[in-house]
Parts: sequence; structure tokens; C-alpha cells
Amino acid sequence: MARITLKNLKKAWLAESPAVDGINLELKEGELASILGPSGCGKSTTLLMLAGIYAPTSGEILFDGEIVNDVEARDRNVGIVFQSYALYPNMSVLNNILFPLRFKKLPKNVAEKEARNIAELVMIEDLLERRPSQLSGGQQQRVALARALVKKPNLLLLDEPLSNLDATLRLNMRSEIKRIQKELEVTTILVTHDQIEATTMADRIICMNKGKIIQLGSPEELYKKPVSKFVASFIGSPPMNLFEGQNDDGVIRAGALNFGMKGTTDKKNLICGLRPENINIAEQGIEGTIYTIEPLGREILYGLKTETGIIWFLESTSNAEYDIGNLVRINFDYQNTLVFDRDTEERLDSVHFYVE
Amino acid sequence: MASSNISGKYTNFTVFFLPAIVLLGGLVVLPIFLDIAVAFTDMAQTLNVSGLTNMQFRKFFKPVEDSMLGFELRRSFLKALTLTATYVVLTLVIFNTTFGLVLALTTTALSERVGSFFRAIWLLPRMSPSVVYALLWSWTIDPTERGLLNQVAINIFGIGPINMKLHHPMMLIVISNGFIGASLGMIILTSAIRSIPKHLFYAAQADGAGPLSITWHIILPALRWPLSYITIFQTLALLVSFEYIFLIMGPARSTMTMAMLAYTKTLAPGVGAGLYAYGAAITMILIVIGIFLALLLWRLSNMQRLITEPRIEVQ
Repeated sequence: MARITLKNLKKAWLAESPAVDGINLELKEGELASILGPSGCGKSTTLLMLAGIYAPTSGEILFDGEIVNDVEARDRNVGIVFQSYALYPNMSVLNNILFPLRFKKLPKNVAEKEARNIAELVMIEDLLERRPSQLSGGQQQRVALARALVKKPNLLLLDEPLSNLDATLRLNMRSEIKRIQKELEVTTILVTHDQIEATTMADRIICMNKGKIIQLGSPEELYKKPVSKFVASFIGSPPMNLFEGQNDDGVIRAGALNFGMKGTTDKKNLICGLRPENINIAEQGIEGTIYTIEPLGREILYGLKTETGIIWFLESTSNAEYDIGNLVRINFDYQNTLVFDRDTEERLDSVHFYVE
Repeated sequence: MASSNISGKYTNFTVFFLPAIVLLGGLVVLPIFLDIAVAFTDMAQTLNVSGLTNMQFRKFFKPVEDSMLGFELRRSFLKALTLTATYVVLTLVIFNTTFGLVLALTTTALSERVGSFFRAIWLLPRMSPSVVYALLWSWTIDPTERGLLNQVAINIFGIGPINMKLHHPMMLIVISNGFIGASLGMIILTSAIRSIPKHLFYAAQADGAGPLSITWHIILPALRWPLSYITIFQTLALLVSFEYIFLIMGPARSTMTMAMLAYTKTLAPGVGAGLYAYGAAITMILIVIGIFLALLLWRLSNMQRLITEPRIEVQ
């Protein structure tokens, strides 16, 4: 359980395109932070540098205030769970869990007791004699978790740990990992490209793109106040509606539609953002015809063909249902809208739009 | 419908397997039967056959009333068997498996470029023509002061001159064959090591394992099957190999293994006596030994499982 600090951390396989490009970060003891980003954004590289498997090109990694750049992976006391679980195929489950303790020179009975305790915590105590190939994906994932936790790591790293599980199991393991993490109070970094995983599990989200931290904050902050179009489109499901608009003295012209603007900006080229869940069917508003229908269970995702393109919106199933071709009007509260500068893709603070 | 299906099956079978069956029959099965047939004759240089006889085998075995099996091995044959066993076991154990493994482990631990460089060097003996390779050895071990080995021995260690052919013939043929044989193991084991998922190495490092523990607990278990394969394959290859022995040692008695014996008694230029039936009899015994060893090793290493399901776990 350590406090983790990254100072200007950089990893460049090729000098001109660094995989990780100078990130700064401070994690509190016992915190569960999630690094979220698309593939190739540098999140796994960051993780492997924390584990000591890759050496940083420059910058510092500190555990509890001490620089560990030159500490070998085996001496860092970091637990990792990989997407593939990476269980040792020739060893039983018990020996897999015992493996990290081998190098701690614990007496055999003590080591075995600890392995059994941790197996109980992740609920695999009945599987200890099996081989990894005889386990289901969910069970393998629990074994991998037990192996990472048995040595009481300073830091627990989870590299896309849920990506290979089916939907139900994923839901289950999400809360399970969170429970275990809180119980052991181990500082944890979860690397994922799945925003739902990040928002449901993490205390804080570190949103990365192209080797840089784009935004760092609570899930709510990232959802409500994304700093840029990238974060806005990455967080939220179904994804945010984004359409281009032109600032014409306080009126936003988007295709053939005109929107009123709250707040002021001198930027001309804008991008308007609107989340599907913030749109309602209304008497007054943007007119369009229903184009696609995707039932999601409790809600239905409609694609509405409007004069500025397709706008997606969610309606609860209990409301009147619409068919393809129906003519409907939609409206929204201006406070839920976001406006971005089209050139820098940054969000313009306190600028919103509404249906005139 | 059903009958056309069956005839279709036979057509497919014929189309796909006929070439293989013809080749197998013509190049493997037929020669074995021919060999067995010739072994029981008195065929010699003139190729005349006067009838069936077991006289060739009496050159190896002599009937002894009170021995357990009713016969004993003759001294010369026993010596050939012993030399063959020594040669096969030493080359296999020291070079083809152990040294191949060491090469694979060290070259994969090095950086990609350096590793490939060393692997390429170790492939050179296999790639160079056998006569050139043998010639290089002859120069190296030349018993006079001009030989490379003796230059090193005399000028650096102050010993020698050493006459390898005369005093260490077995060591010489084991090393010269081993340098070639090790590269096969090296290649197969290198690719096996490469196919281990890299996350397993990361996990082991994070778990606190050093290079030795990783080799022992992660790499070696993954090499069990390739090692079994190399052992079986190379045992059979070494059993019948005589090319380099003949090129380096000539028909020397000190390295007259079974395969060498068969060759020198029949076809070897200059010394071959054209004793075809005798050579065929030796070859037949070699075939029996080969089949027996292959089945034994197959059984011991559970090779059946290797070829029925993939043994490298890809996750």
C-alpha cells in the first residue's frame, strides 16, 4: 500500500513518437485509479513501467516518495493481473498462488496458509488442485488476482482484466474486484479502454490519448465537464452526439438548423455536444423522422434524421413507442449541452446552446 | 446418393494420397524389403546370388549352447555396437539437446540482433558443404604443428602436439557432428521459447523471479515437448549417420560404428569390398534397433499427446 508519484514520465521507443509523453500523477494510498484511453494511447506502457518491466526513457517513478526507477521488477513488490491472466500452465492453482511467495523465503506452512487465505478471499478455495487449463475464464481471472495479491503488493496493476470475460461475469467481477480492493486497501491502477469499467470501478479516472494525460478527475467530472471533445466522446454510452456548428453572432448554425447560444465566445467554428440521455421528446423542438431503433431493454435508442444529420436519443421503454418513419420533435435542457472549439477541440467553459 | 458419396471419398483419397503412397512405397518400404531379402543371401561384388543363407548373421552372432539366448555376439560386432551407442548417446546428450538448449536460451536472452547473429554463426556448419566442413576439421586437427588446434595448444598452453585422430577419435567425431547437430535443437527450441506468451515472463518478473527461476519454472516446462521431439529425431538420425565420420576419420577402426561398417564393407571408395549381403545384414540390424528405439522413446516421452493436441498453450 504505497503512495505512487509519476514525475514527467516518458517512454520513447522511437525518439520522434513517444509512447508515453511526460505524464505527472499522484496516487493516494489505497486509491483505485483507472487509466482510460483508446488502444495505443500509452496506458499499458505506463503500467509496465510502473511494474519495472520497461525502463522509462526519462522522468521518475516514486513509491512512497522514493525513486524506484532503478529497482528491478522483482524487487518492486507489484502485483499484476493481465488480460490473458498469464497463469503458469504447468503449475496447479495453489502453486501459481504460491509462486510469488517462493521468493519471499517464507516458511512453507506460513506461505501455504497465506495462499489459502487469499484463495478464500477471491473464492477459489475449491479449485486449488486444478491446472489453469481446467478453469473457466472467470476462475482463471480470480486465480490471477489471488497470485497478484498474495504477496501484499505495494501496488496492484490490472491490465484490461475484464476484457476476456462475458457480460454477466464482467459485471460480477467489477464489483468483486472493487470489494477486494477496498478490503485490502491496496493502491490500484486499472488500465482499460472500456469507459464503463473505468467509471464504475475507479475513484479517479486518468484519461489518456497519444501518450499524454488529457484529463484527470472523478468519473462525474469527466462526464459532466470533459475538457475536450476527445474525453466527451470517450465517456458515456451510447456516445455523445457531436455536430459541427458556425457561430454567427450568438446564433449557432448547424446545417439547416439554428440554435441559440448561452454565454459568449469569439470562436467561429464550433462543435456541439449533446448526450442521448439528455434529449426528450417534446411539443416544441427539432423536428425529424425516426431512422433507426435499437431496443436496449429498459430504454430504446432512437436515431433521428434531422436537418443537421442523425441525432441519437434515449427514451424509456414505458413511454409511447415510435416506428421508423414517425415524425417527432425533440428538445433538451441547455445546461446539459457542451460546446467545443473546432480547431483546438477544447471545451468552451459556460457556453451552451438551446433550441430557439 | 450414399454410394456416390463413398466412391467420391475413394477418389479424393486416391488423388490426395497416391503420390505420397507411391513415394513412401518406392523410397522407404521397398528398400527395406530389398535390404532384408539381400541380407539373407551371399551377394557380393559380382551380384551373383547362389541361394538363401544366414551366413551374414553368423558373422555377428556365434551359437553358444549354454548362453541364455543360445548365441553370443562376436567381438567385432560388439565393438561396432558399443561405438555406435557411445557416439549416439554422447552427441545427443552433450550437443543436440543440451548444447542446443544452451544456445537457444542464451541467444533468446540477448538482444534480437545479437541473438540472430550468433544463431547464424551456429548454422554455418550445417549450411556449408560437408566436404568443406570436413576439410576444415582436417586442417584444424592436423597432428603436426601446422594444425590450428596444435598451434593453440603449443603456443598458448605449451602442450602438444596433439593427435586427435589417433588418441581421441570418439571425441573428435562427437564434437564435429555435434557442432552441426546442435543447430537443429537451437532453432526448434528458439521458436518454442519465442512462442511462450510474453505476459508469462512479465508476470514471473513481477512475482519476484530472477533469470534462473524464470528459466526453470517458465521456459523449461514449455520446452518439454520440443525436447522429446529432438531426442527421438536425432537419435534416429545419428544412428545411421556416417558421412562426417568417414570424411574426417576415413575407415579407421577406432570409429567404426554400425553405419560406417555397412558403408565401408560395401560402397566406400577405395576400401569398399562390395560385400553387399554383409552390408545389408548390418543395415537390417540397424533398422530393427532404430524401430525399437523410436517406439521406446515415443512411449517414454508420451509423444502421442504431442501430435494429437497443441502442447504450447496460447492464451
